[in-house]
Amino acid sequence: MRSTFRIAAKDLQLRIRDRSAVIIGVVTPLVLAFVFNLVFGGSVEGDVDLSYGVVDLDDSVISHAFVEVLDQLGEQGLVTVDRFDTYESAVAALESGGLDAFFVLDGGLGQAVTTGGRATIRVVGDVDAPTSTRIAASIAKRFAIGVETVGLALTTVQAIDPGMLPLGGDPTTAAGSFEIVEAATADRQLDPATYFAAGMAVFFLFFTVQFGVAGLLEESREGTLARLLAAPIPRWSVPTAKALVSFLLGVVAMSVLAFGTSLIMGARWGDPLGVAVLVVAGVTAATSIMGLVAAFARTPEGAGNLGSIIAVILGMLGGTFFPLGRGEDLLSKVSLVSPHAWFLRGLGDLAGGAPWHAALPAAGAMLVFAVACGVPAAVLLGRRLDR
Amino acid sequence: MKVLAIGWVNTKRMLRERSNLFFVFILPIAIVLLVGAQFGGEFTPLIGVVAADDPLAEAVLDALGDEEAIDVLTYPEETLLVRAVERGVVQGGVILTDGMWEVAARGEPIRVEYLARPDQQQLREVVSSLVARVMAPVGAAQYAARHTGASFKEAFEIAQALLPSEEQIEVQVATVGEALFPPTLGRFDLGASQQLVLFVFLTALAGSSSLILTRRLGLSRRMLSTPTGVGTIVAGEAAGRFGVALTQGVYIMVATTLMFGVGWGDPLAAVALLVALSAVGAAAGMLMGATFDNDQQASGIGVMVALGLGALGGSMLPMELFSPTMRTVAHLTPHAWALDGFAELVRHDGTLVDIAGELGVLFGYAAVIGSVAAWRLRKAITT
Amino acid sequence: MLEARGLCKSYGDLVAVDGVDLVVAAGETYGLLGPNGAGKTTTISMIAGLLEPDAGEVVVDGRQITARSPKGKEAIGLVPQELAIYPDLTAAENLAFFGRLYGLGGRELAARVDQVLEVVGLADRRDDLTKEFSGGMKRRLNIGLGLLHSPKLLILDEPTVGVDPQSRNAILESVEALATGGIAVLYTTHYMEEAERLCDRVGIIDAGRIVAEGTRRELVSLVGQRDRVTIGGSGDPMATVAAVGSVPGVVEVTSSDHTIEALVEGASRLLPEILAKATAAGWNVTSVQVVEPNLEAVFLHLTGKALRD
Repeated sequence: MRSTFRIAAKDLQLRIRDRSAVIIGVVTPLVLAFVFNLVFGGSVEGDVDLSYGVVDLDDSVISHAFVEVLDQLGEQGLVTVDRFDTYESAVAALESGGLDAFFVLDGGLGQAVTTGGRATIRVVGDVDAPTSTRIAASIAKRFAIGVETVGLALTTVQAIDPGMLPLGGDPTTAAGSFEIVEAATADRQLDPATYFAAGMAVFFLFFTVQFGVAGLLEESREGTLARLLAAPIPRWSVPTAKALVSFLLGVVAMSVLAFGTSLIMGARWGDPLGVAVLVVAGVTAATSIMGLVAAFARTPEGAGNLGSIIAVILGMLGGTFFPLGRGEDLLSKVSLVSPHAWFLRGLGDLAGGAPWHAALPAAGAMLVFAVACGVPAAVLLGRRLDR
Repeated sequence: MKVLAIGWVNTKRMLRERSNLFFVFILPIAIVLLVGAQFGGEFTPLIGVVAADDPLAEAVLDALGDEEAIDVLTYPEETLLVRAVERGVVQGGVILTDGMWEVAARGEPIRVEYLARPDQQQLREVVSSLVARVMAPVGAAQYAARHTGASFKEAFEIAQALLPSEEQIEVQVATVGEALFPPTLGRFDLGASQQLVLFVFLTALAGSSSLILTRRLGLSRRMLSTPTGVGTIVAGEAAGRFGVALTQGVYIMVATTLMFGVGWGDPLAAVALLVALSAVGAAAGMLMGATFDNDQQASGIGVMVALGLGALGGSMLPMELFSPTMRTVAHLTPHAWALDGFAELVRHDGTLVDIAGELGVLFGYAAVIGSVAAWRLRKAITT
Repeated sequence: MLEARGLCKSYGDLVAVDGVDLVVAAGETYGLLGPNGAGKTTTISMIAGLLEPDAGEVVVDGRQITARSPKGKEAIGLVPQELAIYPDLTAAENLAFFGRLYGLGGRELAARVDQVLEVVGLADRRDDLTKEFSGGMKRRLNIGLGLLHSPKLLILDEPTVGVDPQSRNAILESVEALATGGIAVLYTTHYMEEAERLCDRVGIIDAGRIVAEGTRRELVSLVGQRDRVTIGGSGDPMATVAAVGSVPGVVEVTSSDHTIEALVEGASRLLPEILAKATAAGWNVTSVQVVEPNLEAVFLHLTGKALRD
């Protein structure tokens, strides 16, 4: 064991002196996470702030009722509502980017509704805010249906017993036949800053750990491997030391990135113990996969090239740059063949302040990768040393 | 001639390394495909639904399915739906429980559970309007049953029959402004030009490591020992970088055209833009190759700079979606100018004249970066 | 000090080493001589415990050496053919690292590092990164690394390949000094002069087998070759051939236009008489060359190959 530590200490000294591992493992992901968050952070879907306007040209009971509905939504924090006196001023606000959409309540709306005639509510939206515009249309429809339901209630009563009208009781209660109830959900999705921080961290982790395991091929090329094997140390201590170097570099890089991105860009990685579990599992999986790559490669360059390809493919699949797939489609399932996806999912499971053991399923999945690749890597590398 | 010989050897060395084939030729096309498949259409939110075996539940499910503003994904049980909402797999969830009909018949309000992450409540309004449409005859029937003594079922059938075929209050939707991305823009078009710009730079910067190796292995000195001037060697290295960039650029253009039917606009202007872009990439790659002595570090930093500039310059998220400040920042990168040029060609049928400004800026970048790079490389080789 | 018995190693169908026996005593320098691909490095790898032999065993300083176990390896110092040093560590750091792997530490290690740097002449460059070193300096450090832990058996695998003549001489001198210090040295080379200068005994390996073994003299007599005396000049070749041929101990004489060649038993003893007879026969001597039979010739004789190809 002592010789393992000595070789690992020597490798770490070399890596620190060389600086490449620091640049690739820490500086690059930190810079990229920062830039990505700067560029994409504000525009990631989900962070929609709906700003609507309303032009009430009718000024009737009905139009007031509609504006009241909007104000209620405003009070719930779902939308912001601005009032405009003219259509033109609302269009101007829309074009300057201050509004996503606005409602026009034309004169005669109230009159038409109370007399059973037909009326129109207009929704004018920004051409580049289709979702916001559709939501605005839904709000208007909801209101329209409410009004219609009241009418339907009255005509239904009349159909059953024409002589009963007018009735006691409030027919507007007919519109209240259902309620939408908010069910509580936990948060298992990463905010943009954390997503980019964690995505870049785990993407570059696979490059970082290469500095350890691929070191075995460097020793072999430089001839120092012969010297190590000639020394009175157990044979396994050499590959073990390389794996240990990978592990330490990975853990240190991930820790620095977790702290760094939390400080610089306000990333929220979640429960520290849970994050630690995920980092350890992720680093172990990365080390095993890159160990397997090293076992197949003949030269350090070969390992570097093959390793980069594997890292990029797994990184893309795992959604470290952008989430892959939509809903429950095939692509989103394929994504799970990547440990990157599990790392991000594990962090997501911690996102809403869940306790550390929420990370265990994802960590377990990554350990499956670790075993599936680590065992053949150990066997192949061991065999290579004997030749 | 010597310049071309040095340039050709460099291009050949790059193409001979098999892993480069992946990064230069396969990866960009794969990303164009993935991005196009995923983001090519406009973003339609997904709503997950758990629907019980109940006539009202089924009616709501059908109404949700008919709505254009959302796509619906059904889940067999509530826990799966909750998890999907929490993970952001779907943007909202609706739970339609068993016994909705019985509740309605008793004259009680029906509860529809809606799930969403706290920052995505807005879709509730869409769901709410659709549920309201289904519930209109329910509400009317409940009211009628309460006041006439008729049974709920009876009243419901009557209300159903009385549903007007046309809406009393029609909601008209109109949009104003010019669309950022015209509907004629193919789903792969935007991604193709973004990836072209990103990868020409990425390859050029990451490829700086081969220039460092040329220097470190003493090949530059050996070239200098032949009757070849320093200027020729520097120009040859530049030609090599440029050759690699141009090869990749032409390949991406041709491949995306053939495979995804991507339009690049006026061919002459598109090639001119690619040449300008490749020149900037080649110059930047040279600068890195002349500045760094460690090829591993150079390719690491090259990847970082290329991805960082790509993100800032609109190669990942279209600049149209940037804030005005970020758009100004973006135009510090050559990427933004190249993408502006391609947008002009593709979306507005621009010609060489229309992109003269973009070309000028790009060649300006190439001239400035290239001069600094040539000066540094000359120093690096001769000392 | 070293006893290797019946070492065999094959890679698939290729038999690299086929029953090699080697014995090197303390204080003895043994040269393993052979062309590239003869099995020298494979043999050495098995002796140094890098490689597990298919058959046979290696005993160094009374302990069996295997690739699987670290036991006994501290008795061996290996100087591999490649420059097995870390370019990004200084000379002293390289030494200290490997010293620790051999269980040295503390003051003892520091003292040994200084000592070895002194011996290989790198004391003034101890804190420079070895990537800044010249080829000869790297070679010297390479040997120093093998000596650091005071091994009882030092194995040098072609330590002078690609070394300038000056450094080469320094390396050979230090190996000579080692042997007088009581270390057993196993030295592989394909430079004949080195083997002739350094080695008490030489084994010639070809196609994985030791084809001959002994002191230089034993090997030469094994082949039974004579000294070759070449006398350049002018005169009557026929008369001169007859005159030289009459000297007892001269086995064979031939002539060409301007040279007389004689195969002789003991040239140093007979040379004056041969020259006298030739001059007497009217041969105007302008040059004399004596070639003693060497390992090169022995090697050629035994393997049918030249060493350096």
